[in-house]
Amino acid sequence: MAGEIGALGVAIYYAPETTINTRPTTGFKQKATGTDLNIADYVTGVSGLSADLEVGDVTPISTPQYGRRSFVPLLYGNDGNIKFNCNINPTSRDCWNAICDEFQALTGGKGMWFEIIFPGDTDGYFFRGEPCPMQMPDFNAGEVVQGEVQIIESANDGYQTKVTA
Amino acid sequence: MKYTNNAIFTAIRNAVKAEYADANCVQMYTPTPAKFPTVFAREIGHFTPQQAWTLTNAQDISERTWEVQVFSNLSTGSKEQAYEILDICKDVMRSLYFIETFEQPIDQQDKSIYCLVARFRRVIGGGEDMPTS
Repeated sequence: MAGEIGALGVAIYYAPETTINTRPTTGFKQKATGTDLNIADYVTGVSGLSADLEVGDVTPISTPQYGRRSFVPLLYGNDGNIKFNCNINPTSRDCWNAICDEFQALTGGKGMWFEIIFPGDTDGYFFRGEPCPMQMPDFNAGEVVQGEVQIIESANDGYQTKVTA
Repeated sequence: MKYTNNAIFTAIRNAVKAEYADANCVQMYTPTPAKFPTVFAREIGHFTPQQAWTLTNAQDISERTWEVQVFSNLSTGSKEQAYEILDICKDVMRSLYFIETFEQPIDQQDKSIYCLVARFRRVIGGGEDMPTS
């Protein structure tokens, strides 16, 4: 048993900052007040969290022909777009957009933090970002109506002890 | 009205009965219909497309497949009657946004019976109501 997990059961929380640029330690919730669905109830998958490690080429100029290049690790980075793929319908749209409204109502430069918790994990994965309202998705007859909502990442604390309230 | 099995079957039965008052419309299969013409309509597939699975398994959407079989035993014109009745069923399924994915005659041991089968498919979300005509 190597502890593998499936993605079914992943929980997604969010919390507005009470102090600018400081990850909240309380106040995490799964849905906006007055809405019906938790975020994970309409999210089918998440992309954009994975960050590639940039590398720098430090190959000496004296390296002979057919020699090997040398590299050093630099910074982790993605393109800043974290995407939640969603089943889109009026209910999920209202639920997500209520979170966006909550973000827009923040003042003084305060942001919003998101937390993703794998099933059975004692840690959560934390990032700070701006949630963007749900847009009109592409769709096809005979298929489920789905689309992506975006969170523009502005900070990332990685795995920390999970917070669920 | 939601897309329940009974609601879909009732829509088919009512449309067929409007044109063929004596037609036998059933959901339970019997190898040899008791009377003719018979329309046998039932759901043969119902599952949640993996594409729609959410992280909490909270989705309320299903891909449904329905099968309609029409049996006629007219001494002359059984084929025409079967197609006429199937056309009625197709109109109903089309109005419910089901797409026909299969249609063909099925050979019967009793050569006096003509049988047509058609299948229909669509994705139905829990938030959808059946269109009212």
